[in-house]
Amino acid sequence: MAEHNWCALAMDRRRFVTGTLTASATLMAPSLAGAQQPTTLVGVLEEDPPGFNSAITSTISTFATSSPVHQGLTQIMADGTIEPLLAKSWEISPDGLTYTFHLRDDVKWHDGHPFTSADVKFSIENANGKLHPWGKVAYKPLKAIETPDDHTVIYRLNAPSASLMSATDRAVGAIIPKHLWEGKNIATDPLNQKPVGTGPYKLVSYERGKEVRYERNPDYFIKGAPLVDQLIFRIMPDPATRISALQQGEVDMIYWNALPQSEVARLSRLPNLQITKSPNRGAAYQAVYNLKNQYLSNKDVRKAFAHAIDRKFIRESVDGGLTSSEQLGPVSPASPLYNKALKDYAFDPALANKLLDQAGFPRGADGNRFTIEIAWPSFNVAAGKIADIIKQNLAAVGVGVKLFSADRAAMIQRCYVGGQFDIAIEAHAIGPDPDIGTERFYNSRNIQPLPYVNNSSYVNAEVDKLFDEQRSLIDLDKRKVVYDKIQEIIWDDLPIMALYQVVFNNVSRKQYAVDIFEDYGNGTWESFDRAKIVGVHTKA
Amino acid sequence: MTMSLPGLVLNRVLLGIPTLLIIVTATFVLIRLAPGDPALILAGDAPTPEFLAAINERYGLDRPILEQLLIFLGQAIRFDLGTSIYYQQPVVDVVLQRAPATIILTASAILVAALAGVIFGVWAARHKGTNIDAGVGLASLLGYSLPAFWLGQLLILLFAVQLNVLPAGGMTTARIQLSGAAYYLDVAKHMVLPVLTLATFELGLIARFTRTAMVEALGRDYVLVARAKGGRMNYVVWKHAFPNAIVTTITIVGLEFGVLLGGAVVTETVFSWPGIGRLFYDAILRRDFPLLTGCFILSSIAVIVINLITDLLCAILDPRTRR
Repeated sequence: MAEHNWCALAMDRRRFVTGTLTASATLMAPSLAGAQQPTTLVGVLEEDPPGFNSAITSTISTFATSSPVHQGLTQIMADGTIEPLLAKSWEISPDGLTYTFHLRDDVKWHDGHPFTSADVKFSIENANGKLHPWGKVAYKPLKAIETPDDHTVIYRLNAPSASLMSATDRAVGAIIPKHLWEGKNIATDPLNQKPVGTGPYKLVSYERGKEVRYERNPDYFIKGAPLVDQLIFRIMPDPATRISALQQGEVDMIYWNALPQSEVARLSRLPNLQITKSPNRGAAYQAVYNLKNQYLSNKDVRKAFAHAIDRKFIRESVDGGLTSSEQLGPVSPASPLYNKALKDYAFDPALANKLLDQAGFPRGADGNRFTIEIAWPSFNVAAGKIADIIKQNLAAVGVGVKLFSADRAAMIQRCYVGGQFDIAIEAHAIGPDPDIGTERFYNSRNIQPLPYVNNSSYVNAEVDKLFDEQRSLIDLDKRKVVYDKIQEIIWDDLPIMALYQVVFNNVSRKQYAVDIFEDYGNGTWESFDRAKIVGVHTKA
Repeated sequence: MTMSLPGLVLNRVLLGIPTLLIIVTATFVLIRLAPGDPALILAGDAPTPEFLAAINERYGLDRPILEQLLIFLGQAIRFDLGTSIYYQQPVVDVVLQRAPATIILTASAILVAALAGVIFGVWAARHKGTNIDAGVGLASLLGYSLPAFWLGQLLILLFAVQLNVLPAGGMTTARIQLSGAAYYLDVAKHMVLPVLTLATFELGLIARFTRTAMVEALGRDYVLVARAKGGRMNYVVWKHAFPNAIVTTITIVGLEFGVLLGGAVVTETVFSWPGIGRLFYDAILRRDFPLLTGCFILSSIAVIVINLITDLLCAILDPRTRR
């Protein structure tokens, strides 16, 4: 880990005593600052997390609640660089087949057991590489994991892997304690609700529907961190109430998934709040075409749609234009692998009409060519707006649109497992590397009745081959050449139409939550080990 | 035939058992007919088949529905309602952890609504045909018609955001850990707005029913006799007319309990109140079959019990109802 210049702590960390003064009282009475009052950050969760084990799931609420507790060998920073965390250093053999990680020897699990290489081997073999949807892809090239001593882990690979290192942070590579998990069913054991990690915070209590409470890990291996004594996530299902609570001061911070992005413009004008943009690796809005549909299976129709749909208008109007950036093709524009040479399909209804005529779908007597259905999950307000705009765009070129919306469970069952959809609008998480988050939508291996895989049923042997080819190219430039080609082909085939890249905004109260939400990429999520409170941890 | 009170209790309990069985079976089957797979919700994005298989096996979701139902019924008799798929905890624990919050919220709301509703209803009846009557009528209609989510948000905006005198949500202040009297005071502060939201709806209804019952009672001969004997108006109203009218009010309150549980879903969502209303709603979204069935069963039991209490109260107050 890079040395952080932690400000000297005047505070002595005492155990929390019931009935103690609040952090706000501390702030209001500067003379008390530096005394023994515990400092608190209050955040928000939009739902009860299904568990606290991010070694087995990519569910966002689990990321958020697991991140203060569980850690990976490394962590990915906002600029994409990979820094040491549980591993203090590593070497990759010149042939790219052997990764040797040297682990820190001063790390303890929250229950006092020492953290060792056995924990890493156990986690990757039984959790991350087996059950985690992204880990299953990222750790696929792994042939064996060796642990020559307690503080050395060797990953032996079948083939070089360009994306393995990006799977060593906590989003995909969270390490869980072997001594507690061995012999248990990791997918369903109740231990998933009582995480024991190595991170800066220990879980103290979780009251369903109410709050998750953490306290500072006094034995945390980074000395002086974390600065804030306790961390509370209140569970607030109603978005309007979350914002009211923030404005009133009951909560200090709302992370992007719990923040209605359409409120960002208004909140940014309030004096006590600060908006931070999370690095751009999170998600993209996409129109997934079902290529089994008789019309959408025709490439000319898909091209016509690309010219008929006003993507710029969608980008700029859905969330007030504050939360989006242009994305062409399947890869996030924030990725170093993004192909900047791709050309946008110009918004040109006349051309779209022409293409549809040529494709053999002329207008009927009523002016209509054919009718399709657009589906979206009902909780996603932005997706609903997008569907409305596309409906109007397509109506202008003689394509009728029926709208269908259902809750997530029904959407998954009907559209993805059942394959009953024409176009689905969703925001998809892209993950720390396109290999991990993007390939699943396009590789024909991933045509499965499961949510958020290749539900288009897109088959292109060349794309499959290129995906395999680039994975073993460790040289970024060489890998980019192949990835550029992949993006060109997919942007031309259009099995999925990228609509825009979501730029996530977080909000926090200025004096309370300093330097949070900015440090890490979205792929890793926030552990709050650097959060500060003005007047307590920084000079006011 | 008039039943004795214990007979009435026995009769209602015996009727309650088949009711509950029908509810359980219908719920169990209906939920499973809805599209959606709880394992897919739990597993998140692009789940691995291994993960899905582990969840399906763990919760018996891979077995035929009839077998699942029989297993469930067998367990339910021993008050084991299975394990919540989403929370991975026993359903009984999850529900019981959340039940007190809902009980305290709904009980307070019904108490407030009943007390205020009766007072307004009697007031309006005594001033039948005047502006007071019209005013109470209009206010009741308004209270009954306002959607809870809208009223709740308005109250939050006014009292929490603008005036900053009451909290916007939750059951306690997160930042401070309080104990003793300070804790209860804190909870009470957090209860004001949700109780007001929930009570407004019921208040309107109770006021209108009480008014009608009181108007009828006040027109009866025994009231005229009492007045003719020189009884003062207040005395006549509360001593003679009110006990007859209250049976209607109690019946309404009992019947409305189920509706109140429905209202609690919205109110608990708006105010982040950690009760079973919200739990219920989330269980539906997540297709958490065991939890959903558990919520149904326990709230059905609650409704059956409340109806029983209502019947008993009515029977005590008005023996004519013991038939």
